[in-house]
Amino acid sequence: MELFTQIIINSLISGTQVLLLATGLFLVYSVTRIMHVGLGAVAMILAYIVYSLLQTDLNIFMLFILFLTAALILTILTYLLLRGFINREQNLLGLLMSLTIGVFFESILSIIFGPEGRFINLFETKSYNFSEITVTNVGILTLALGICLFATGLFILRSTPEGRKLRATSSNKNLAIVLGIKTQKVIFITFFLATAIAGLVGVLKGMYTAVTPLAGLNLIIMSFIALIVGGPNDYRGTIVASYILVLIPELLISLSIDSFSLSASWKMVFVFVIATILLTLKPQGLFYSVTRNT
Amino acid sequence: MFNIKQYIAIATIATIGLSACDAPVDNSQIQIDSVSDSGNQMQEYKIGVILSLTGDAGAFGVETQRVLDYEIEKINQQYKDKNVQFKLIYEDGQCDGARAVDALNKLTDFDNVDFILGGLCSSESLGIAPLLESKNVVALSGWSSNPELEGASENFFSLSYSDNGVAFGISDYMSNFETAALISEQNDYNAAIQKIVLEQLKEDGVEIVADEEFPKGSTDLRNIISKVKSQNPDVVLLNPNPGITTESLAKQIKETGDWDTNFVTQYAWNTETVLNETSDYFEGKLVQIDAPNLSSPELKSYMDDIIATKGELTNLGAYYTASSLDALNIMTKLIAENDANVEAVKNALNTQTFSGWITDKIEFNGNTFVQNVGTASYEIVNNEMKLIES
Repeated sequence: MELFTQIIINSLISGTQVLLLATGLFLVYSVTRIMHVGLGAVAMILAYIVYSLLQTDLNIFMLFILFLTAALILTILTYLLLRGFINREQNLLGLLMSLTIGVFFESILSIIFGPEGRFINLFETKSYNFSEITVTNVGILTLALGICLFATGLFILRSTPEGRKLRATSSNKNLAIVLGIKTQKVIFITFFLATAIAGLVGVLKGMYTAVTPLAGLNLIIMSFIALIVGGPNDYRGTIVASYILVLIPELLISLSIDSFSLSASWKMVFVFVIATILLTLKPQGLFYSVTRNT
Repeated sequence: MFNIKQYIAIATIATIGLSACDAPVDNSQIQIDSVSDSGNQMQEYKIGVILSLTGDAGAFGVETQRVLDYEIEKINQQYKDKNVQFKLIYEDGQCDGARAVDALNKLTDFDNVDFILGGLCSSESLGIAPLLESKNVVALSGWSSNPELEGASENFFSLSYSDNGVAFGISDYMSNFETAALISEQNDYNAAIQKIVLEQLKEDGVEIVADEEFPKGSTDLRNIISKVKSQNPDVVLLNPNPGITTESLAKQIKETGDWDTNFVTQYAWNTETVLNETSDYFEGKLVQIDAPNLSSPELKSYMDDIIATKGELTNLGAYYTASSLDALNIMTKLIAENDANVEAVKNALNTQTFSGWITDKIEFNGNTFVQNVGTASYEIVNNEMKLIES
């Protein structure tokens, strides 16, 4: 029972990282129809920036300001590069461009920092043991930040004028323009939010496990699958898919014992099997249902 | 008559054609290409070096390069009076067999190299070994340890102790317990250790309660650790690759609090970062089976000099620093003595005894791996690995 609970806790933390990055993908996709898979590399760039800043004597406030500044610069860069692909019929081109940006960023990181992984020691990691169950302060922070971000995000989307503008741009850009909404500004702000969230995921990953120049790729693959399986137009689906895709493989591997024991290498196999099953059963997304317009 | 594209096409074809018609290069001429200050003809011998400068063992490769760069300057200084100089040409094998073969092809076909130091990772050496005889090249590795290299090529030699020795040392230690668990990274080196330990433990009647593997480079190992801990083994083999995975494994085991178990590991644990961050937890609980203890003050002082001149050697450790130095010294000595004759160098490696940092009696006696080098057991005392048995 302890092992089962431990796996659930660990998977919730990893699932929250996947979900946060998928949230960035979802936001960008909803207003641009671009699958911004370069966000994984953006997450690593910002994580390495924080890692580098931590080698200096900056206080946490300055660190936060510089993090946001770096996120803004990356937003401008990626926005300018992807602007020509926004709401295009062939949105595969946008995905390819974003992938190219990601590969470029990863290569730069590899050149500057080398292949070795880095831990981000923003504060000392402490672990709390309850009977046989262990949870770290970074794990708790990840879960708490995840809940806070979802609550804030939902509040902004549903109850503020900015959120309504974003939803309007997402559902019908042309109509939003006619209504006087500055859609380019909305799209830029969305890019910035996605970049900052990705950076946060990178930092959390560096604190919880470690970051390597190529770690963003693994993260974004999971988030991308979660977005597709959950349905790119329904955030509820992305939330559920993120946790399912992390939790079920981990449970299958961790609870397999003796001669039926499975190695961790099976994880991605299970991820793709689950994704295939879900996409076969619910090709439009987990919560998609056919409704008749009257 | 022609448009610009046609001109470019004609020019390109003409350039390729002219390059193809160029006269073949004579190997021996390449190696004599400079004149000494005194006006005598300076003989320069090229030695190819295949190291993992990036990839899984990138940190090791970079540090090895520092050692070789330091030593080659000294060697060239010594040979200056004899009008002999050596030039190291580095290629990145990326700890990958296929990449190492590319590196070997480049070194032999373009740089006309007959002598190789490397590969560093066993996977690199396993990749290049079958090609050495047909290319008439001799390779001396200071680092590769996979037992499968034994007999892989008559032209390949390694100054590393074989993984077999480490694996047998680990299984001897683990055989003192009733139940055992293994946590291994999926990598050539780790797989070789895992395989031998499993076989030996089964022979010795030790019950294996968990045999967990994780993909190369993984850093989130918490679920594997929880799974192993839940099985309550008497002893656990920690078998990761050095670097970030070892650091992650050490930190994440520490997070889980006290284990009623003993840990045993291989050389990966012996890095400054791992020891600094986790030795308080593992002190008295962990035994490391590793290279023989090289604790001579001369070597330490030599290493300090290299660090001061070229940079840190945090990951390489005493043995592989010593084996790097020995590999380069033996290779340059034999090339100079035998005037770069490949057969003569190969015969000398098979039959002669050399004195070096790893031992006073470096000899191969027709084997791939250096003889007279065993393993030793260490434990953590005050943030350092201390010898308990050699």
